[in-house]
Amino acid sequence: MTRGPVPHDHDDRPDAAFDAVLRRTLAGATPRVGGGDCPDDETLGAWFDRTLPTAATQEVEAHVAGCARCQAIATVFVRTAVAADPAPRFWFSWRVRWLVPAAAVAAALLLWIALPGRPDAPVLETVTSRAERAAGSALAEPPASARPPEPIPAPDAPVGARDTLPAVTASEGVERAPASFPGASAPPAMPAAAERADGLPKAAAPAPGAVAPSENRAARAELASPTATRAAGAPAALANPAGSVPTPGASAGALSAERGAVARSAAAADAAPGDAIVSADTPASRWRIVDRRRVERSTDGGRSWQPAALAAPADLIAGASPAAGVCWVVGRGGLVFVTTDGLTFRRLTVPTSADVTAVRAPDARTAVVTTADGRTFRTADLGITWSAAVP
Amino acid sequence: MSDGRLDDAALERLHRRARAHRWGLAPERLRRALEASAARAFAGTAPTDADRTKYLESLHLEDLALACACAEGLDPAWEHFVREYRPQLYRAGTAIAGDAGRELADSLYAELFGLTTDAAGGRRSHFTYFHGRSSLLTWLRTVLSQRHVDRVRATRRIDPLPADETPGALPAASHAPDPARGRYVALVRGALIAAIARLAARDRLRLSCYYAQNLTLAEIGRLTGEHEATVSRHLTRTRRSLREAMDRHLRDEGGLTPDEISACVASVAADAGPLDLADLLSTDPRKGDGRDRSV
Repeated sequence: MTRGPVPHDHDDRPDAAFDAVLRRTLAGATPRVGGGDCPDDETLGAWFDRTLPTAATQEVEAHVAGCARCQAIATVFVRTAVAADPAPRFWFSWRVRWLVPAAAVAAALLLWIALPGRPDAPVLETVTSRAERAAGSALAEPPASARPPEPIPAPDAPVGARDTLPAVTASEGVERAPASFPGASAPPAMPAAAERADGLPKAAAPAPGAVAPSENRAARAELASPTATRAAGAPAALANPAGSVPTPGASAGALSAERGAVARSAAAADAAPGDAIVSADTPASRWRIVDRRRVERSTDGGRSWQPAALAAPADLIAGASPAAGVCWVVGRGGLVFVTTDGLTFRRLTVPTSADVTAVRAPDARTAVVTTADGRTFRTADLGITWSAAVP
Repeated sequence: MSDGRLDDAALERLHRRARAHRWGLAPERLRRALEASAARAFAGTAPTDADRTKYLESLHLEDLALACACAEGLDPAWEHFVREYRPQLYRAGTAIAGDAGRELADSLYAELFGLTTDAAGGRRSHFTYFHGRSSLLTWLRTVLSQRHVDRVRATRRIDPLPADETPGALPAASHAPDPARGRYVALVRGALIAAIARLAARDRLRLSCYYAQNLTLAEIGRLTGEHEATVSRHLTRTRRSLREAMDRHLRDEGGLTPDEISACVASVAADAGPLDLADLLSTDPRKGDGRDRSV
């Protein structure tokens, strides 16, 4: 991070000598112990939050200006801005907040339509197909008594997010997972998420020959959102590892089950996304999120998968892999991880605690993450620093 | 509201705004917290009811209710805290102290949980020190930052100074001693004392953050609520005024010529010696009077 332009002297020319006088003397100042004179932690916190009255603010500033201890505290605080969310901008107001997810869905839809190699026009999921999805999902899910009913879309939810998802069709030549694929178990610490995760089709290794039709699209999708991820990457990831051709009945059941997963994945704003598959730009290098808690990597185009280590427990939602060996995964509670060695994901400090529902990684050092409330943050140094970005 | 006691209607309104019912927090418990917060904020003064009401309305009420409920050991509140705040607490600890951050966060978490005992031997949750004036997360981060800084400062005090032959030793002046340096330092010190004392508090804050703490303009702006361009502009102006004041002082009080002023600045810049601008920057008239500066 640059320190910004160094102030110049009275005739606007750099005055290195005077600058050095100030720098040396100030940097070498004897630290003062604030002791009882220092503002208490809550007063400092209120000053950081800028919620102090004017008079109190001036008093704190006057103190901090001459107190090495409080300056150090302020320095630590401001440099570790874990939750220093930027001030909400007008376009995040409730009146227009819906535009962000709506635009994202529209962009994903356009991408789907525009990409080459698509065999047919997208099959838009209609009310009828939702009924089919519900029926099919039941095949892959535990008994109804063990699960909450299918969530009903909220009246104010963007229509496109739920009702116009491109369905994954069997005509893409991708083999499907068995309908009876076991459900995923979720961490006990998040009971609500566990309930939603139960019964979702679990990602399986794709068959070697089953990925070609979706390769290009999956690689380009880059997980702009869980929805896009599932739509683009799911066919490859859900291929039957045994390579067997499923029966029509089983395929239909699995297809419906998958549609159920797609619908849940689309409902990221409801915090009930499905697991996501990450495709790298190097076709042989792939990633997948398993049970929303683990990440696995394949370096042979999906024939075999190896687990990657996560620095902390996570409830993962989406990911992006801009290059072989580099992968970003994001999840609930402001979780963002990145790996650059393909083996270990380190956890990054991001300036938000909101659920992170999407990540886009244009290159190996840059990523843009989007939170469930529509905010976007960008890093260009592998997560060392973040800035609020215009969506 | 009279005698500092919150009336029932106001309490009900604040209890509802705080959504304290989520945690099963009794209104009377919230009343105690609100009254304690107001008493602390208005210590030594006699606020009007309107002032007190305005203050209470400005609090982070939901956070205060959560802290009260956690201090009371209410399970729903703790479940919420563990789910929403504990990960951020540990993330902040790691960001602040690196590998030692976990221990730092562990320590605070234990205190929040009430694993520490007070002077009377009873358990007391650290949540009771939260009065809702900042957000709960900011408060947690501030406490972590304070503890980290105090720990580092304590460690530095007991660390031995580097030996003269070690690479970390303070560099000696590479040039021959300047016979006029003592006079130059005294003149510069006098000039800076006078000039900095005239600065506004915020100007002194920007100056020390930039030169002493090496904060970036953006980071300073985050502290002061200003855009970094504004910080840069103010710093430039402050620096210019300091330089002009110092030059004037050296010329008028020291009788130095322009060439001698340049030599003076160069000499002090080469070896600032014992100059301590921490003293110069502190113009708090109440310094050392032992009064609690909490506001």
